[in-house]
Amino acid sequence: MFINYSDEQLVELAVSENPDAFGEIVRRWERKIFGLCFGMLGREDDARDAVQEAFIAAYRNIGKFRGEAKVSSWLHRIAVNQCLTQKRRQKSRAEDFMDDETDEGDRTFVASPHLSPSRTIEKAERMTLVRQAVGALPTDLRQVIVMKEFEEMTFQQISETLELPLSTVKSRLYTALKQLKLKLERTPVEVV
Amino acid sequence: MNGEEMLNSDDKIMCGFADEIVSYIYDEIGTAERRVFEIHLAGCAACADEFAAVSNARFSVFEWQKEEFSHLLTPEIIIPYASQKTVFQENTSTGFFTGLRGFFSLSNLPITAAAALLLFLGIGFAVITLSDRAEEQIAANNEPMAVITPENQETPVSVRENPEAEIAAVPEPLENSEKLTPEIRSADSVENIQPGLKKMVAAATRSRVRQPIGPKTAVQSNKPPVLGNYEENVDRSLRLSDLFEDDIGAKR
Repeated sequence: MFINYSDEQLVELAVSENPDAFGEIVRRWERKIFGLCFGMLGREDDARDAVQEAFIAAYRNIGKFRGEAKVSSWLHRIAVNQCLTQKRRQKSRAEDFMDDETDEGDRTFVASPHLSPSRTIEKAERMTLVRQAVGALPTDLRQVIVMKEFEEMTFQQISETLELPLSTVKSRLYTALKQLKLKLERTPVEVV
Repeated sequence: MNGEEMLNSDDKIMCGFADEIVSYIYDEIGTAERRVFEIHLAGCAACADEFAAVSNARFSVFEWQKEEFSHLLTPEIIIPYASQKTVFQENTSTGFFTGLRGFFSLSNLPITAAAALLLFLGIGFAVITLSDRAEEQIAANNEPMAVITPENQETPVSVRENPEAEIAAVPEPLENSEKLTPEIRSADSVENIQPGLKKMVAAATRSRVRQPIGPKTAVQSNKPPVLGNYEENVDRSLRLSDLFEDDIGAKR
């Protein structure tokens, strides 16, 4: 219904209390906000909570959106602040209960067991795109990605393995992720 | 990259926190740096967008890895160290004496017994065969030597009553005799050798014929007849009668 609407148009409709318009915003950005939150928090459960809280905060404050920035930037800032708030909460909770597991727990991601058929197809297509995008990276960049994501090596280990300065390893990983992002944006996944 | 201004994906000037973004996403950032970065991120839209972009890309790879690879079981790799060791030992212990010792070990007793029996039979057969041959050889050696007499001699060349006439009767040598092979000149072609015998016979006549050159001698020679060779065969040894030949002749 709102497929052809821009983000700004959807915000205007949401301000005029059209819940379906905000629903379209959520559908468009939930995954990216989730990726951001996952990058900040490192745990799937925490990231899902943060995404939930971020979109609630966005809906409550949608009247304050002035249109000076992109909707995506606005949502990113809300999500970043929500993650920072959540981290502070986690930290204080850990100090209160002397529970270190929250901070030191491994980064986990559990795929949602209840996916609609359209989401399942979307996910499969996305995996194909990511595979192609990673495969299309230059060898030196792909090497760092694989060592980091698949072999779970630290920057220091990669640096020693490849005999590269630490800053070069970080720079290569940053460049690799940026190129990956551009490749994935060029071929967006069409939702059925 | 700290302190340098960079362009993010939307071409906005970002604040040079690229290293921190990556380090933060992968949770490899120091506490102080983390705090500084978080404070900056909370107030900088450009860095928030950049962080979101990089984080999303990373999440895509992470998700892909979890979906397609994490459930895959690593194949169990079994290196047969023990069997390799056994093979190595077998390879290194293939010496003759080691093999012989192993062959005659108690575990191979039936095989060993059979092999020993076969070996014994073989040795016995060889001994019997060799002894029979030796007896035959001894019997052959004990037979009297055949004496060549004028009756049983096939071609009595040595007895020459008139050697000069014989020499005169010898045919002229073949022109192409040199081209003949030694086989052609053997036994059947004694006559072709006759020219070579001329001088030899003459010398033998002069110093009395002491060593008759028969066809058997010619047969044994595989080389083409050269006069020099025949001269070598002539017995020129000095004899007592030679010393007194002149005296005898004078007395006669």
